[in-house]
Amino acid sequence: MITLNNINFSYTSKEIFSEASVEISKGEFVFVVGESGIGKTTLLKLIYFDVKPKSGTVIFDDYNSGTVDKTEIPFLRRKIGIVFQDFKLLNDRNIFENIALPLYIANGKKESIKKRVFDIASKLGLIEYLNIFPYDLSGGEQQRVAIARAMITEPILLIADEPTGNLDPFVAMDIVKLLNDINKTGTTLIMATHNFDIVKKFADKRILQLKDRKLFDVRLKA
Amino acid sequence: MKFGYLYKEAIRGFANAKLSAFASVITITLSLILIAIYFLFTVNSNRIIKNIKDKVEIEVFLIDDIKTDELNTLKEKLKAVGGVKNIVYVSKDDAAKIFSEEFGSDMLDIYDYNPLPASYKINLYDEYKTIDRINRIKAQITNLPQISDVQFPEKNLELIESKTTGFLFINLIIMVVITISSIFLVSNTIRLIISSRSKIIETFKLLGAKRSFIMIPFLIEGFIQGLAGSILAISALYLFFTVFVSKFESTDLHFELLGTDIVLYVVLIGVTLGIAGSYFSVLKYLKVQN
Ligand SMILES: Nc1ncnc2c1ncn2[C@@H]1O[C@H](COP(=O)(O)OP(=O)(O)OP(=O)(O)O)[C@@H](O)[C@H]1O
Ligand SMILES: [Mg+2]
Repeated sequence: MITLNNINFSYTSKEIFSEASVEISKGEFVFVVGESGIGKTTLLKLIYFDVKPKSGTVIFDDYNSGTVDKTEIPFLRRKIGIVFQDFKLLNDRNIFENIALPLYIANGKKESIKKRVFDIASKLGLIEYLNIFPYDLSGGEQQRVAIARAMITEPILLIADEPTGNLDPFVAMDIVKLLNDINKTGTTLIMATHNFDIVKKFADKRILQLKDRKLFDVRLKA
Repeated sequence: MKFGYLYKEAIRGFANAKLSAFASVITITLSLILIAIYFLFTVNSNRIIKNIKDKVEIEVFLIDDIKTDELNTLKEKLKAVGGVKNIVYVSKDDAAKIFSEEFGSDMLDIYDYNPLPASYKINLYDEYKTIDRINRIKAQITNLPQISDVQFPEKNLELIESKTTGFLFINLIIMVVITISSIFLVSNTIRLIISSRSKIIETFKLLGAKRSFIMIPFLIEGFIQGLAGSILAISALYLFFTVFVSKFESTDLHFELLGTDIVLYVVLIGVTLGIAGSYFSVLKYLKVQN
């Protein structure tokens, strides 16, 4: 489903990837680990075509970074649910509108949008917050709203960037369990984290480590 | 349903940035007032010039003992001169009548005979109404034996001709300055509004919104701002003119003020300013990355 082929990528002042390659199959659950500032978010951005590799190719689904047309990128993004590290919730609209936004963007029908939002909100315990605004929620609640928004279109790939960032261990655990459930329905899942307790608890998952500008599969020591 | 959502998005935009939306409406209003004043200034100055020019005619004074058949051949000769629109004969009696109408006293009260000569009044086509061309016509006819004198209002023409080039030049400069400053002001205010919403644009993009989905709410907003700006500008001008118009009405020149055409132009320019301002500002944000 995702192929990175000999990727080179740098920001103006810093090289992030050098000849990095990886392949992720449909239905996998992958933890992306590595120290802060190493390029986890950048890897995810490459996958949803927010940045382009200097050389090498990124392939997601039928989209190839070398040949993709600008006008196709919105459609590529609609197949991916993204939980951003900084959430990117919009403070000018309530939680309902935030969660519903991807459906409006994909031109969904009004009645079905309502039903979908209520379904997801009840699954994530957000029903009581639908009418209030993001800035009135706690960090953990905002996190769940971000996940709800990412899930609402039933994407084939869910990307979660540090979704347990500032949560207490119990809530963090709940969030990852939730992502695990989503993965079990067939959604490919990529989660960037430096929370090793979590990674250890889900020891059966694939772990991808960023190091020396490359990507390695690693196993936890028993 | 889609348009409904995009419209809601535009209204949300207004609610978000009430102050800057207001600022941008006011900017459009001021630009439109400048443009309207410039437009009215141009229209009315042209009207004054036209008015003066319309009154320019060549008076060909005739000798007293001219014979009737000579009158006709002379008229034919004068017609043959280039640029003549029409020729009117003013007899000695007509001239006396015109004099007494204009000065309120009768010629014959002062003199015991009518000293005023008969004349032909030649009206030229507008493009012939220059000092240069009239002087050439004058040279052609002034030596004809039946003609005693040829006159035309050289002073008025001189005034128009000396001022026109300068006027056109100043007019051009004003137009350029107004246009550039309007576009600059409007797109700057709108850019401020849009930069305050760059996070929204960015998020929309990452959630798979097409360019049109992002753009249309801003265009709707620009349209509403332009419309509001035009209405304010027209109201301001209307108020201004109802206060000042009485001062102009006494003069015999008829000034053109708020006609339907200028109201229409103002709305059209206002809406264009609003939409174009939004379009170019959003475009800047859409061009970043993909
Ligand atoms: N737009 C950018 N321009 C320049 N440098 C950038 C940009 N984005 C990220 N960087 C730099 O690239 C490096 C990798 O950033 P990235 O966000 O991918 O790291 P990360 O592994 O996700 O870190 P963290 O765990 O703290 O989220 C960092 O040093 C960051 O400062
Ligand atoms: Mg990161």
